[in-house]
Amino acid sequence: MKFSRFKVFFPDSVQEASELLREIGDDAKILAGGQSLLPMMAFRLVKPKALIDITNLGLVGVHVSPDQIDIGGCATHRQIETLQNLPVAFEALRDGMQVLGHVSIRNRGTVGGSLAHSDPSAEWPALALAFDAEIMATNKESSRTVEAKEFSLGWFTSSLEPDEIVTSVLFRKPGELTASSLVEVSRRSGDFALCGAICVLSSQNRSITQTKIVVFGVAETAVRLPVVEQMVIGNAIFDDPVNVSRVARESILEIIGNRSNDEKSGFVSQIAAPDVVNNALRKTIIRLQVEAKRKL
Amino acid sequence: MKFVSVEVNGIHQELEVDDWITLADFLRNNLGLTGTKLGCEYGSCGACSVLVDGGSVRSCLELAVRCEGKSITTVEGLDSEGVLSPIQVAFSKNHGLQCGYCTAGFLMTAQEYVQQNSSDDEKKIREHLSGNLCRCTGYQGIVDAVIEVVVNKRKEINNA
Repeated sequence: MKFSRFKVFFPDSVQEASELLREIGDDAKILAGGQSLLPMMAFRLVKPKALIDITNLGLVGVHVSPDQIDIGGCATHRQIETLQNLPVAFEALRDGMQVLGHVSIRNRGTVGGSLAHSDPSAEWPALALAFDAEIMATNKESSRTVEAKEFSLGWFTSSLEPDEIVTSVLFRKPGELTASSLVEVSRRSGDFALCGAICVLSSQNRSITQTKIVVFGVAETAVRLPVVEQMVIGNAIFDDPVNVSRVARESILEIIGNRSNDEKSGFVSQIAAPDVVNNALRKTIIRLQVEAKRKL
Repeated sequence: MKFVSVEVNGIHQELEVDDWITLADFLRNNLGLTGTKLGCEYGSCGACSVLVDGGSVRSCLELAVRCEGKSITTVEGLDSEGVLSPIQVAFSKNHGLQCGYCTAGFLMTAQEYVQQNSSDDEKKIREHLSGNLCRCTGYQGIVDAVIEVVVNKRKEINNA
């Protein structure tokens, strides 16, 4: 249906936007791409009286170097998807963008907006966790860096203060030789994931030295699977990858406990999620092998 | 209320509009451009897709007041003086429409694809169009139309 009535503010700076948040309080929402907020408003799930547009505040830059990507809070998913110079280490970001909504959603939806929204099935909070990304939160007076693992707290809940805005997020390459991938399953193309997994592997002397394995869509936030990570550490990169499905399944069940309040928890946590974890690992190892051979 | 100045299908427009009006309602009600259709009104169906500065956007998920200074193309802007654009001709030839309700949105997303890509890979085309739903399920004709346009475009470039 149509939105209920509201006023749109166009502040000239992040500081001014933060001040508006303070002045108006709970009735105000930051509007970036609007691809989650506006559908919620169309359903009248939320009825903010004020929207504060932050898309013209110069937060759209994406700075890529071989070792890191610094993404402006209002950079769109499409900007990341179409990066020409994305280093191999960050291919999980492109994997994620190719399955995030549809092109017209990606043309508008923003990285900072997705992080702030903290949907447990969304790609960006999970990607941030898998790369230990640093999220810059800015208010009227100052900026602070929030580690990804401290950022998403639960269902649609982040650790942002009410007057803070996500202004950028920094992804760093964890090791010299690194590969990554994201795999997810959804009911239809472009839907939110039923579940997904991200794997980031780094190697030295042909053996895996660092790993992050993250699963999303199964719990209140994206979560790491440390037991699965331990199975992978030390393995030789040119060996057949170890099958982690069973251990992933046990880890996921341990995380979600006995909660089985819908059909999703059975199929997703016991069958789909362990499978995507294993697939993400295999895909990443193949990429790591290619990269290792290329660097020989 | 805010004044918005936009370029719609090449014509400069300056109108006063309420803050909460979507781009879709602005186009249809304020400018009378009813070629853009509204389906779900929450960003799921793609029927209301238009091009904003060349990129496809769901006009039900954009506010008119945020389009200040932007260039918008709707289905009414695809032809030039009554001569159909290649994508419109291809839709007609390949039976890319049945009831026609989703067609304006499909044409705009397809137009974005043919402007940005030269690949006739069906998988890639279907991925690009996946945000547009056709309840008559006539997807094959739509995909064939897009393939025809990119193949013709390539031929033209090769012949030039």
